[in-house]
Amino acid sequence: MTSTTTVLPARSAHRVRRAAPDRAGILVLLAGFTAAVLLRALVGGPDVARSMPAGLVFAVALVLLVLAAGTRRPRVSRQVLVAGAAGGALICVPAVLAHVSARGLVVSTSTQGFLLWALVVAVVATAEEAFLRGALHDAVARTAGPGVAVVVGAAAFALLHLPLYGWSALPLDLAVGVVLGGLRVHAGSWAAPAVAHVGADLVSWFLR
Amino acid sequence: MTRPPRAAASPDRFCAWRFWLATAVVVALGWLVSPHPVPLYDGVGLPDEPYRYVAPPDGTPTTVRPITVAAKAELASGVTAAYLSLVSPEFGPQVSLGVPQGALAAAAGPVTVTVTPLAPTEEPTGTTIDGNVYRVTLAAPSGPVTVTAKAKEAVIYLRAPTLTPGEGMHYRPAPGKPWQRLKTTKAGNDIWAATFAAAGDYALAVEATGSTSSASGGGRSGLLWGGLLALVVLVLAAVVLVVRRSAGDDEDETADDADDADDAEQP
Repeated sequence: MTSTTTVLPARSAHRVRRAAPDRAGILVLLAGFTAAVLLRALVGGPDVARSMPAGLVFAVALVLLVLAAGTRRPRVSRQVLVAGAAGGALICVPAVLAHVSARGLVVSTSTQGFLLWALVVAVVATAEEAFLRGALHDAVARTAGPGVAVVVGAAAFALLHLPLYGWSALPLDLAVGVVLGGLRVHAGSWAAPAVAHVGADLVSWFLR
Repeated sequence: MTRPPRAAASPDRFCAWRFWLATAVVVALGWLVSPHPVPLYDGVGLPDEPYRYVAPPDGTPTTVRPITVAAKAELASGVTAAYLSLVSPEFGPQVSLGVPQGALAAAAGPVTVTVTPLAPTEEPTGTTIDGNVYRVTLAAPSGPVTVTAKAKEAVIYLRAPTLTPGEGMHYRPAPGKPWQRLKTTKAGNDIWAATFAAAGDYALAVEATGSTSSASGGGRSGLLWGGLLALVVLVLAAVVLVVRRSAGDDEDETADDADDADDAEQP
């Protein structure tokens, strides 16, 4: 009985230490993310948004951070994929409406260069989701809850696109970031926002 | 305090209409609030076709000539009754103009808006025109077309031939008149937007002094050091994450061992 009364506080201490918020880890992740964005900008130069090498360098940098953070492979199920596809369709709606109102029901049927472009886009978008809705989301959610994780991920997502598309796209990118974060929480896996993100990017080919 | 991990998503959560409604509202709000939203959320930008010049500069690839685009709108109560959208046919479009309903007025309709690409002749002072000049004309069979206050909501977009920072859109009401710089915002990778002023010429121009297409020696050196610094920070971040994770694993194992020992001591 004596041993029980003296041991219980020690067990609690262990649990508290294991559950301690990892704010420093989040800062390290954000520093690495900033460095990855900077690398992309430096490799891409003025043509950063269209530069495939810059996109791939960025993706490799993000994957490095994801692996270093020990992010687990996402859970993939039919439901996760369906949620991702539905989310992707939803974030495409404004772009489709804008396209139709401006140009009518005209879509690009050109496939020249599509395969390489699609492959690079899929790699970059998946790497982004693995980092933002995987590693970063998990770290922030452990410390401050999933709501804050969604906001932090959306802010990082919007700021990431600032050098690519300027301030004018910031509100939309922020909103899409919130939606992708919501999908992550809703589906319980970063595979869902990855599917949505890749899908939305690929659709843009046909809306040129 | 760490929150308990979320339970795995159950099938009914995927049908939660409230989630999807909230999602739709957020996207709609983002779209409405963005002054010049682009239909791209990420990834590598779409490869545009080479810029179609009316008068190609030396060394640029030969392309088909850009063409004139036009749109018509009937009148209702003396103003245009529909939204007018003009988008040139290139991938991506070199010019697009959206004129809201009620932005143009005439005695009788229909009103025709035409955008014609032209080779630059007179350039704005101290700048070089980058690409074609686009002449916007407004015509109606009954006579002149005027712009209403609603025209302030009209936006003209021009795609630049090259990715040059600091492009500015310039406008002049007629040939021979002085150019004036419009308040220009970046609306895409190489797309610039400005509020439609009135009929006249629109063009993108860059400062003539100083090269924007090539970095100077000092600039290149700065880029190199910046790249190295970013690489170092990235590698350091990865190393720190790995070390912290390893330390966390060891700590967890120690805690687990202690918990196991505690459990063994429980009566």
